[in-house]
Amino acid sequence: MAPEKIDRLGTNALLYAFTKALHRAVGGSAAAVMRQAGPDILKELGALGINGLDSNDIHVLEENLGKLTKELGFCDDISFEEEGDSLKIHVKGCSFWELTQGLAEEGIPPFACPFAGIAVALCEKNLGVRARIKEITTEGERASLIHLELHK
Amino acid sequence: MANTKNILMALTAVDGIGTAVCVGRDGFVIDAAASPGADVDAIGAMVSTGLGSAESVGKELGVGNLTQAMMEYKNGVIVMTAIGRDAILAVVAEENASLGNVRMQVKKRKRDLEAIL
Repeated sequence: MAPEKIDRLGTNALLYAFTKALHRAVGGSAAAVMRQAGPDILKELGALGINGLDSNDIHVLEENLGKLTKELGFCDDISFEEEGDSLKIHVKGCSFWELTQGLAEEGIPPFACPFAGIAVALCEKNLGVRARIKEITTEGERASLIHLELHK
Repeated sequence: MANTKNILMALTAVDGIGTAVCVGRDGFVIDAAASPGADVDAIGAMVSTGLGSAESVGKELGVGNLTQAMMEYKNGVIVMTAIGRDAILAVVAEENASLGNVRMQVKKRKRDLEAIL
């Protein structure tokens, strides 16, 4: 019987191959696929019994998303910084680092960042605000800044 | 000065064109002039990936950059074109619309959108 938890680097390798192939097939439009995937990621997490992402309070969402992503081993810490029409999400200890860095080395934007997909879906579904990824940049080793534009 | 909505509404005023959407490459619907009930968010994602795959085909076959894509279906025609690097214009026309006119209108409005986006 295979172990319950699969290896982090193995998961990154699989996701890297899928996302690179997707980018080759549709180029920069691959980001539109991730935008569609965000709500399904939320739904699937809910189906796993992982709740707490149904609030419409950004501070509650920040806290619950932080707890959940740590529990799932997605990252060590996540925090929000909202200012006007901008939402900055700081991710530390990212478990998908090899995925996004591998894509960056190929000149492919980090469109597959699951935190960005989840954050956009949360803004649109829970906060009722249309959101768009402005940029995703690194903030040191295994740390990223996801900058969302909010269209209020 | 024209805005995105006015340009899209001018397109839907053309005989045979029912829907006009302007979407980002990321599938974000920048603006739309569509019939009530149309799921413009889903249209945005499909338009983006549809144009993206058409561009990839051209790249693989070495035929240069895509200028316009047209897909004919049993009950209608979709014409898409890139607006700069980050946006796409798509219109949905009836199956009996004058395709020459639809394509010409898309080409004309592409320039208008490029000027403001």
